[in-house]
Amino acid sequence: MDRGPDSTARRFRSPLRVAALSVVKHDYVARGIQSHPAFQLTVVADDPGVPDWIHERNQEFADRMQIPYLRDIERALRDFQIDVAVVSSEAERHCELSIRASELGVHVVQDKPMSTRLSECERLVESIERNRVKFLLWNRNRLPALMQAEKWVQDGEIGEIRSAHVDFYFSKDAGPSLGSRRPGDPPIDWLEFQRAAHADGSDGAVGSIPIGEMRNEAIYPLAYIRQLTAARFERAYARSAVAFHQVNADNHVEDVGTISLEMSGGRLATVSIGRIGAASHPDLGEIKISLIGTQGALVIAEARPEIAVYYRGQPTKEFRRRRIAVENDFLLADNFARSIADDLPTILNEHAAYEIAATVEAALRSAASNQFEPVTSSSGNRL
Amino acid sequence: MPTRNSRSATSINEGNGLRGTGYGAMLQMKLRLALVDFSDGEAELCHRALGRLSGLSVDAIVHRDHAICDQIGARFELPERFYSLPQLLDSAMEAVDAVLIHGPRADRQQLVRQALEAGKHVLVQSPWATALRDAASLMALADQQRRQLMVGGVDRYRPSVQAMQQAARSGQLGMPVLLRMHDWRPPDRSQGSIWDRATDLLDTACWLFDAVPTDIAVLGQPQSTGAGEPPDFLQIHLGFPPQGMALLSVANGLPAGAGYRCVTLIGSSGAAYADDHDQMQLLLQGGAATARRAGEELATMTTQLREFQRAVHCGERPETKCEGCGLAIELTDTAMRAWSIGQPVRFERTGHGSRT
Repeated sequence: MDRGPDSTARRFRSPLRVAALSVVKHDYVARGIQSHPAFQLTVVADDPGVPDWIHERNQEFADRMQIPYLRDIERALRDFQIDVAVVSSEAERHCELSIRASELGVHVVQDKPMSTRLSECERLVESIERNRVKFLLWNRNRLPALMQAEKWVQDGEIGEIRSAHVDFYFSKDAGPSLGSRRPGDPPIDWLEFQRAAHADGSDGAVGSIPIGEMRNEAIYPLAYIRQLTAARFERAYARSAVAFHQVNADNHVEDVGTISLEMSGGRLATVSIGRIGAASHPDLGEIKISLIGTQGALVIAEARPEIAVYYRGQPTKEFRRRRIAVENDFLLADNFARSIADDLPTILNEHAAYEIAATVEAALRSAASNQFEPVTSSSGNRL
Repeated sequence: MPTRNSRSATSINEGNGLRGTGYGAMLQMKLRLALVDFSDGEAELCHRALGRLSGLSVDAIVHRDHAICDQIGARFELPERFYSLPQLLDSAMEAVDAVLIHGPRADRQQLVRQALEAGKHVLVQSPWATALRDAASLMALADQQRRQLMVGGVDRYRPSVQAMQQAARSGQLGMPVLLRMHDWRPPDRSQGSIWDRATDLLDTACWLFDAVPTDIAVLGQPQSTGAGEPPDFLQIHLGFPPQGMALLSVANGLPAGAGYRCVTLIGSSGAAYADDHDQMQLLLQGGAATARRAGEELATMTTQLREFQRAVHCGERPETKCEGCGLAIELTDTAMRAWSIGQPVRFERTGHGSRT
């Protein structure tokens, strides 16, 4: 392993040795990296002082993958000669863990959101740049429908993109519906609720700091728009609401929102996003990308290609439609491996991820101020 | 010279309407229509719709273009062809009970006035008035003449939007939370400016939400043909009380051919989706497959004509009466202001808005 901030050329060995730094949330990021032969999941690590439930989840994942679990991140990175860290901790620890890996010359793959604080994102960008390591924020940009849209756009099928519009509705429930809390009942504790939701995989916002749908999920539609338009977000106007889930109301974070965006080159965009409840869609949710170009338009269903399966005794919560030919995990891992080998930017690198985080913050400010807000750094400077 | 229609028909104008006399009686009364400045395609659609309705007939064709007038006249097997509405009203005043007005947007207001002054019921294609005071004046004229003035060509008559509205109004969706609409079309000057399309979308948004928005933010793009051009794309962001929201996008710049429409209404306990994308049929003729939309245009025209017929026969205001359109005109005024200053604008209904 080639370590240290002074190294300029990194030796690429295969497979690259991977450490999972905290696996309290989605283990699909670590498994996604593991799906590519260029990577070998080698160790799970976390800090010794984290709560027991985190140790338990880390240990469980390590056992499943038949690799060791160390309660010492730095030692794990050094002793196991780690090349790549996969960070999937609580959202508020994302940047801290990624920075510690970066400071040891380790490339980073990180779960979303980038952070709960923009200033933390800035620290991470600085560390990644200074240490000349690669960074990838996990995303959905390699889904088949997105790749097809990207090809049509690149082939000039609709000319230059003028505006982009994404609907991103997850139809999962998030606990009791809004208004279900009885008088005298305590508010729902965010962390406890998210921990309990781990069983069905809907704990994407696990952590001590509550985060709404815009912070938690807007990375996906914004990454689509950025990928397809190659334009930068400049100004946002947004509205948000708590309309579906009691846990969001009790913790004062939105579960639905709409964003209007001005982008570089005079392009425009909109995003509508929400965790709209299982009753509102028979499958994962309505997710669509609509583009207007100078010579036409494109309307893309993110779920396609898919098949439908119905059978007697089918569980009510089972999706009737099943996505097929999905290679998002492998292709993201492949992109990351190539970026390391050839010193190329990743598909969603630290700068793109930071711009998206700043855009989300602008949208949240706008939802509070009812004004257009510029996309700025944490100190208020325009990006 | 056009000749007067000699067909026998019991005119609806001979009585005071048929309030309370029932559907059967309604069908026995013939409502005789004149089509004014319909395109050939619109006339064909109307012809097909009339084949599904009783009690309605086309008895005169009016078109400023002689060739089109003859073409449409032949379709309806009508010898009575006129080249202007005044010509019809002068020479065959009694031949029709009602006038259906399409044609250039700029002329519609005047045509409505001429028809009402002649004592005809009017179904006018939207957009038809751009200022509240003009709309109010014509509505007062309709009341004075005891004639119906109905606005057609709006999304409210589309079966998909109607089904969505019924789901919302029945409570199936809970409280409306988020409305998303796209209406993208090729350039079509006869349909008016992009702001006229915005007016229709704003009308539909209020109808589906069953509420009036409080905040409006608008972003627009000029036409790609040159600076200083009016926008050919708008995205309108609405806030509804207490915490509803809507995103409407209107485009007038697609290449010639099909457009795209999508409406999604998400409520607190359910959602409804009406998306052209989900209504596509495949046409295979070699090469890439072609997607063709399963159309609802015929049903839309039929529904609209049926509502007009009901309003005339029963003497009741139609679903899209003139007063209801005033709100959308006021909202459009506010949207234009929001667009021009690049900031959100608080909407407060005055009833005195005007748009030029």
